[in-house]
Amino acid sequence: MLPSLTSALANRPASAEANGGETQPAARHLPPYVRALWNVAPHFARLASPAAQGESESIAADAARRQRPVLITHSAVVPTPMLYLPVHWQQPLLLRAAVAHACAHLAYGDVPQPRGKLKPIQLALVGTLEDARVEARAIAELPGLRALWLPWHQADAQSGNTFEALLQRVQRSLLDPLYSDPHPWVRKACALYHAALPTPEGMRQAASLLGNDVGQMRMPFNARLYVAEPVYRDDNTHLWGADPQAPPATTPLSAPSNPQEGQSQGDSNHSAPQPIEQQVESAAGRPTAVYGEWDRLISRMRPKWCQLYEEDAPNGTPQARQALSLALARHAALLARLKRVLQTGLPLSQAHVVAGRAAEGERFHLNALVHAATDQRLRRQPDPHIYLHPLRAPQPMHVLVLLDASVSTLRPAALPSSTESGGTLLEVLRESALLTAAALEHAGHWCAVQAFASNTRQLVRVQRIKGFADQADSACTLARLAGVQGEWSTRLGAALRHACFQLRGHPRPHVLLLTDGQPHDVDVHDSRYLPADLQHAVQEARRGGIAVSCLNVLGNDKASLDEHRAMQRALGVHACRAVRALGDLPHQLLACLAR
Amino acid sequence: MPTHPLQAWRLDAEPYYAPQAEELAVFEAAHALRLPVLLKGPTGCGKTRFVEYMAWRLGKPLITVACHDDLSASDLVGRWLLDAQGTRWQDGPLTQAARHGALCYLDEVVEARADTTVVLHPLTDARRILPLTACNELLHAHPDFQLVVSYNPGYQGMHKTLKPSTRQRFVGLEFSYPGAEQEAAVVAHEGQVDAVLASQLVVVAERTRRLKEHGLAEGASTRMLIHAAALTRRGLSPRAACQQAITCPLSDDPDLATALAAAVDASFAH
Repeated sequence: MLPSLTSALANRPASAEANGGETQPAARHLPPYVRALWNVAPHFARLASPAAQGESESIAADAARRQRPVLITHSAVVPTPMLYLPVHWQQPLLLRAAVAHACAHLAYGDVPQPRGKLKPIQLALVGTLEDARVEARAIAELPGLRALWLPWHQADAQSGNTFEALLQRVQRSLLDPLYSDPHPWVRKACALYHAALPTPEGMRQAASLLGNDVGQMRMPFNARLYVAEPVYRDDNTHLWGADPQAPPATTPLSAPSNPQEGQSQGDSNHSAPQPIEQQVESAAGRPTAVYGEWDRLISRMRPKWCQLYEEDAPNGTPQARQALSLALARHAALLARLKRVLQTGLPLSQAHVVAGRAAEGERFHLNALVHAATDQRLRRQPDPHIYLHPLRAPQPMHVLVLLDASVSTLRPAALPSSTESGGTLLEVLRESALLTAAALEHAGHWCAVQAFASNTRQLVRVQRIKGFADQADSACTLARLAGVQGEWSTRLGAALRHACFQLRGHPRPHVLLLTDGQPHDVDVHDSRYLPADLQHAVQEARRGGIAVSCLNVLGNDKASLDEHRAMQRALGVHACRAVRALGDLPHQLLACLAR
Repeated sequence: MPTHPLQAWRLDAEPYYAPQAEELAVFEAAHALRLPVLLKGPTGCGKTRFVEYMAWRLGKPLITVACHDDLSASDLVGRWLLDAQGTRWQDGPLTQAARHGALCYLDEVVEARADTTVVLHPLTDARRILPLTACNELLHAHPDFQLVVSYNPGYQGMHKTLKPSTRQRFVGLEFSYPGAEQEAAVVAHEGQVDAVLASQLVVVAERTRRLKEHGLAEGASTRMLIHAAALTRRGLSPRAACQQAITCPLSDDPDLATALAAAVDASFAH
């Protein structure tokens, strides 16, 4: 597979990229792994399985066996290195070996070189020696990596004397200090490797000499069928600069596994990159507030970055209100359970109040006691009110429910109860918010509900649905909740900062996010940017004494689970709970609020 | 010769401390002026050890209070107790230090309730007084009294922070993990292991610290490395010691724990 894929891959649209959260589950630990080892952070993406291309089973199986990871280190389009891993790889050790090898190239490799007049055999040799060089550098720094790579090197004298077999024997000889190969050319290759300068240029010179030997030995080599061995090694296309003469690549790359918010689902193959700044419809008037935003790349807050507009949610249509009322009636049993659970599990905390002295009680009033002792010594009748008055003031929570009203909530829900009522995540979120508010009120706590959505940083919209003083089942609340429509994106950090601003000064403040996944906005292309900002917003809130938790209503797609994990990373595992069915609501809500 | 009331709080032996920069001179200057000192830095980087060392160096008793979210003002100042004769005033640790002249070290001060830190205010400005309203006493701090507090600004999940009115009374000293060589020397000394293993442990710690802000609230602390080193002295392999003392306590996230374990695996020859 020597033809360069670089130019073709470099032209892939940004929408084909995926981060670590969208790779196979066995690969999720790899982004922190390589960051820990070398402080590198390539984007991870999936290389489509050849079985999906409609070929016969045996051809597809062979193609799958021959598939190798693809690393793009320098691209005119994408500044971050990209690592494509075959989607059918599920073995954690294979994935780890492949990622460690590819990232060793990132850590110790050089910029792509022109191929010049190197022949395919020499290209393969340069790749082999360069692989050995970066692995040797990596092992010098991280000796445990040898044990990670060595099990994949099985070639020995029994493997034959073809050029490909000899290359594999060279690779094993260079990696395994206990293996000694009897073949003279393999020995010569090892000697040349050790004698060469440990640089890409040194490897190239050694490969030129070895390539001449191979030519003189008349060993056949089919460049079209050649694949890098062992299986964990990438195809080394990143070693070579873009070659306009190279034939077009045939390896298809996967589309992202989940359509990004802000695009319709049928749009997932849309190849044009999103514009950096979209034309935002002008919002009426001045923004209600302007909040900063954490930029993870510069590790600083960008001040006055997000414009937030707060408004009343519009009233929904009579049909929508009717549907919401019916849903409330349908979930009467669930609501009763929710009320019961919150009332027992989330009691009003009793603030200690020094409410004067009493003749009976559990705790002494120290000053009264001193006065009593003084009176005794002065031979006066002491005042028997020497206890603290047992009164305590109930202290309710103030919970602000922030409802995600982005377009992604229009996805079908996995929840059995919602299919009866139409089946979008937004409907489940609405019903969850309503039930939560009703149950909290019943337990004696205060609850407000707001919805949010964003369309770039210039327009973060927060819609008031229910104030602390409104009743959850009032006509006004139902009408506004029914009027919430799913549109735009999810800029959670700004919405959270605004919620915290509103909760300042309230006793026992708590922001409860009701959402369907991680933050996203159309003017942000770095999938880790907004989650990092959310993490900072959560930390700010908690430092200010405001608790933040999240109920994540999962859709019926795999991407939901990945996004849930991303949210857990931002909020903490225990503060972010998954709701797969409305029946989960009582105990998950209690787990969130009782923290 | 009467013994000092805080004799029990004096350090008998010199605590091991390897200076990182000019913190000794800064602290001594602050002590000469009796300015309160605020130590900031990540967990396990040596803040407490530094205070112990300074107390020993200055020959002062050291009263340490580990603050927690139930710590009330009376826990610091003191309270009336009942005994056979009636009520008896018991000085709290802060009052003891202020009355008899000691360094009072409030560890993780932001963990204490907000009202607690307010009692520090009159002690930490030019007045240097502690009003004991409960026993109607205005305590003028002993000339040897100095207040030292510490906190970790990067600590996640923290709901509290110091109020400006509190933090602006202190001289700040920022701590971080020592440089690699120095940290290795500390680990080698405290963990009683050879310099090679200590350096390997420090490299592992540096790898985990790259994950700060990328899933981890903090990377591995020097204290963790000393624990790992101590475990190797008891016969564990460095890899196993790192898994037990570093990887396992650092994160509950399964993916992050796997990544850390794999990074430790990669760091030691098998």
